[in-house]
Amino acid sequence: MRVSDIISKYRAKEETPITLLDGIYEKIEKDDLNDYISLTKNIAYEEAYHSKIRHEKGMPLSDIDGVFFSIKDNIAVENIRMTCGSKILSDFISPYSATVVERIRAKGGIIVGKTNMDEFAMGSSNESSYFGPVKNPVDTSFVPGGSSGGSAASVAASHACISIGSDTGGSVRQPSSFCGVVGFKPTYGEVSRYGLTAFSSSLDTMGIISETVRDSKRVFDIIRGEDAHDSTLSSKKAGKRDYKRVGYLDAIPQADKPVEEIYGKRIEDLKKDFELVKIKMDFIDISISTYQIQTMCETSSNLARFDGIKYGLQSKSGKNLREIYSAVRGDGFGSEVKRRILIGTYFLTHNEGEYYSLSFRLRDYIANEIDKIFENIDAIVIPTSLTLPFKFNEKTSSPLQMHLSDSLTAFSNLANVPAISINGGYSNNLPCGIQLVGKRFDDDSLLEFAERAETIWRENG
Amino acid sequence: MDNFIPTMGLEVHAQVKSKSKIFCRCATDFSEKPNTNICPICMGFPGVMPSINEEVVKKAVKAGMALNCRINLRTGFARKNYFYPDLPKGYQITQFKVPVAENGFVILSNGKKIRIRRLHIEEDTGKMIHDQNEDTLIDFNRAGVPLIEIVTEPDFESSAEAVEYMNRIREILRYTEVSDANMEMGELRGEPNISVRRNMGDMLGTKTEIKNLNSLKAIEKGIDFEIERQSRLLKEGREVLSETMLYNEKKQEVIPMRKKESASEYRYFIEPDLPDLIIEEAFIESVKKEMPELPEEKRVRFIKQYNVSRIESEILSSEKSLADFFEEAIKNIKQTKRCVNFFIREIPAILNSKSIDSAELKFSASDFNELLREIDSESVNLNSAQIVLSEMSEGRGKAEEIIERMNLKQTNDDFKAMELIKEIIEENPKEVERYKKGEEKLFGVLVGLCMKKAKGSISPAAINKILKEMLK
Repeated sequence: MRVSDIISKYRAKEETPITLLDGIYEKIEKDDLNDYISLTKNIAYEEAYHSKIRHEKGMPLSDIDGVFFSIKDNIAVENIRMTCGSKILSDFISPYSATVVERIRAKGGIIVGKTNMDEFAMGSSNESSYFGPVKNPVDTSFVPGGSSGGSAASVAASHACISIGSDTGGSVRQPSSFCGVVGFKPTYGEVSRYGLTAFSSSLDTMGIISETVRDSKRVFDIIRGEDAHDSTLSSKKAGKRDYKRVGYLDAIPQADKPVEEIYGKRIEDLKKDFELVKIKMDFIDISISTYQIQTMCETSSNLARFDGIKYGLQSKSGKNLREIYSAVRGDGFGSEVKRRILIGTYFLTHNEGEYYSLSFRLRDYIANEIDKIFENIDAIVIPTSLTLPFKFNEKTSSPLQMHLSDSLTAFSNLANVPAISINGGYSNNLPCGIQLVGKRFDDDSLLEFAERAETIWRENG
Repeated sequence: MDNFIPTMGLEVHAQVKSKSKIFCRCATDFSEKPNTNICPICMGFPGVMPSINEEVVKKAVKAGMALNCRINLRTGFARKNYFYPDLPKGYQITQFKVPVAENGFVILSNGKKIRIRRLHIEEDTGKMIHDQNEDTLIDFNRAGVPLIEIVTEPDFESSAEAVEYMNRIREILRYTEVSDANMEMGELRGEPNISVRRNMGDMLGTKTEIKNLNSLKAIEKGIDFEIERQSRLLKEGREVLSETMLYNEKKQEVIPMRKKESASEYRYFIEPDLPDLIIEEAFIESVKKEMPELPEEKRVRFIKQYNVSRIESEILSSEKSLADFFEEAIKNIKQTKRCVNFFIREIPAILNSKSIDSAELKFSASDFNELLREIDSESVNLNSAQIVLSEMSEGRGKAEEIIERMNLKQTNDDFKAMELIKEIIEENPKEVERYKKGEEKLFGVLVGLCMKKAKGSISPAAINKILKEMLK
């Protein structure tokens, strides 16, 4: 479902936001992908009604007026349940809205529902959700990727036009790759995080999932920019420019064969319009450990607020504080979340947090290496994931294997650079995303380049 | 008790005067109905982010400068992680490695310099209330109220020094309007850490920290009890444990509360939701411009300008409002000494008896200036002035009206009487001496001598009145 298609239907008076919304809710029920945790029918129909009137008067608020959004369930929408895919927040109603949600609604965007996700965004297959796994709409026996699995599935299944997800180490791009849609992670500091339940605050970014690059760009322009609630935003801007030189890897040893094939083909496709430069990315191995340390440390602190005292799951049975905490957190968090909290607590305690300090030095190193690469080229093109979508339970028994899913995506979070995944093609009917990575704050130019690549790849089939 | 040598440092928390909390726009008035001044941010709801209230930074810098600290131009925030129900986020946002200000000092009246190690900004926690049914209730109105923490080096050797330091800090925070610093309101809290050792050359002993000291009296007693307790332990050959002690006012004792945490147990790390705090030189300049004359500067000036003693200057400068009131009242007065004395004798007494501050008096500084002018020009004597003042402090008119109404103006007779009585006093030093020592009948003798000398030119009433005053 593309934004332009919807808008032209409204203009031609073929459909109204209400009729389309009816269709969407029907399809959600029929497809039964478990991509939504909560449907927000009340607010959606109310917004659709107002949007319909605006379109009838020929006075839409913006070019997303009447466009359907799904919101990952770790992003706050006022008066709507926000579970973060966890039992501990299974009955939590948010009293406020995230800045991105407010901006989308102010422009007439309609919120269809809150999407399923790995618990607290920790996972790469959406299998750690308390609300059960999401089926990949491309083939329902496969996982949709994660952690924004419900978001990517909702866009791929036309259960929404656009989804707002979150990307800490690849959580928007990897599921977009698995579901064959576009997933964009902007530069850290471009889009307000206010209202995004923190997983790892120094790496978390809001991300956009859509069918086309153009739609991501449209939404990006609406949600980006200063916000009094988020002091980590940056006012830095890079000038817009045409990308000419593109860096690529000539071998990705750990990648599955079909991924390497599709990647090779897509690199070939670009050669007509761009100068292709072979690059090395030796920091990919250390980026995984760096990413693990950073996220686990920060998460151990970010998730401390879920203690059963103020909101969320409660325990009435504890005899003392410790028992209350243990009961609530023991019962409320799933095993992957507990594992990361425990490891993170250890990292921060051991030797005055030397691992955490070390991870910052490694992060600086990785950022420097990337900056050096960008001295020579405009963008990096690499696969989004080492693998094609995998089947349910294929990797759940091996957390380490699962953690490797972030190999090709985490470095852009660590280096605070923008990246976008575009579908590069199919192997055995399973989609494979190709990722374009740009310079820090080069988001506009990267999106322009992504649109060109998208067109070239589509033309080449 | 053997004479063990105590060594102490103090951690002072002061609530920064600010309309809104440190990281959200909620009001800071935590005396309101429980859980009314709260929002998703200070309650730590999922997804919220802090944004710093610049007023708090400004006041912290101001306090740092007033305490002779170096201001760090690049500083930032950190998380102190621990679980407690009154801590909404499971961590407190504070400053760790680089505080906003460090390396300052305060000088005590004995000339001793108390070194200030650091001054940092942090947020307060909520408050736990235990009700009669053994339920614990939590009021989050205080959560996120801005605080500064001022940490000294272990430079104190007695509870008296600690108490004086607290007084100095309170004075400075009030002068600079950084904090109202009322200890009873919890706006100023002092937590001493104490160790004792046998000899000066010994290593410092194991230290303990005392909490729950809500008044200067409590600080004094808490410290004394703890020194005694530690000395007793060591004397008995036992060990002082690294503990946090709780002062119990009713039982007049300190008891161990819990094992003291070490820094690594708090898992400090940089607050990723806030950027570094960059303090510009221009910002410091603007704070400097707002800096009032500090209490010590004022005292030195008062001693010079009004020829008062050290103690008098301390009384006059104890509150900035009182000092300002005083300077306004003493304007254009020639007989400064006489009027300053009158001020010091009368005003603090009125304030104390009514437990109010000078702003709450029923007369203004310029009203009081009017009365001092009457004294200055000797149209009233000091006895009458006292009567006038007590009328004024009940709101019964201004000086001139009251003098008129009560017929207190000194007459010609009064002046003549003064001259004559001066002579009589000089001529009869022994009688005067005996009267002052308590032989009241000598008053009659002195009156007689005056009458004789006046030969009827002055009224007996005037002689009685003036003599009484001059013999005071």
